Amino acid sequence: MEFRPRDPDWDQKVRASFARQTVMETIGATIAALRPGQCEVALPYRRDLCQQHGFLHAGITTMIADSAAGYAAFSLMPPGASVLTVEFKVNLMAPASGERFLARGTVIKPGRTLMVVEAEVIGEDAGKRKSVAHMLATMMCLEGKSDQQALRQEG
Amino acid sequence: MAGEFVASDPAWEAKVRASFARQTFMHTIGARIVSLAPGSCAIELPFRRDLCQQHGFLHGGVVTAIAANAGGYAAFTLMPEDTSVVGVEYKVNLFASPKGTRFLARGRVLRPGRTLHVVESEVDAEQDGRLRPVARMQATMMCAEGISEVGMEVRA
Repeated sequence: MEFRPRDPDWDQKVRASFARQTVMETIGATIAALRPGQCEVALPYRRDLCQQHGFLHAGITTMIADSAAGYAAFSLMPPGASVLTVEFKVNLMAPASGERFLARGTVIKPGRTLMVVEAEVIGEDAGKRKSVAHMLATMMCLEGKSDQQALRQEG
Repeated sequence: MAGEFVASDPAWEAKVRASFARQTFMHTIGARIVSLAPGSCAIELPFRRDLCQQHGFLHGGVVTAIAANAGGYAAFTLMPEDTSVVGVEYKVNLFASPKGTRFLARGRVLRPGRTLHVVESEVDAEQDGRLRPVARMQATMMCAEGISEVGMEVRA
């Protein structure tokens, strides 16, 4: 589906917001691709992000899916707005094994206040790709609350 | 809710703690088990600046990670010996910005099945001594039989 962004600075604003997510740097995730209504987040496997069997922790799988979905939605939001995750459902379809993971978020319905977004997480191993998780999420557009306005807490 | 469930594995507590200890990600973020009983598990996480989203609050993925673990290990307490716990699916509602100095995820089993356990988790944020609910999860956990927790290790 082709979407037209409402903010001429959509690309720069998404990347700047992503850069402020300290946890993305902590786990080593980066934006691999960005288009209006679509965002891909890549994450190389790391031994310190695992669950008890040595696979990527489901919380990490969910985290990159959530960021990919959230920024897919944010790319279509108007200037001066910020994005917030309201809810999601995740199906974990296979153990998250692989050398690299790719979360691809795609907007399904760009509403004014709520956006429905889906995200798929793919595990890549020796050139083979398998789908490890699927998310369906609702993102909220907070108008008049700029993403850069720090609602930051000290601590 | 103490006493509502009976663990069939006499080593339930040791096995849950050992499995949690093998989760490198929990060590990475600084989460720990603060209470454990048959059918329930609570996990605590102090706030850290390097686990945040763009507004300086705890990332939703981190909130989900501790909720999923509290739910998963609540289920694992009730699973028989030589089985392993695997997350199948979950639904999460994030109803407030996770703002606080400490987070507490409390998981409990709603319905223990032979293969699938339905669990729920609540995540509270603590600030100025007050706990405020920030997220709720309902999840399905699978009991994988004949696969010991330790034997499934795939990467050295």
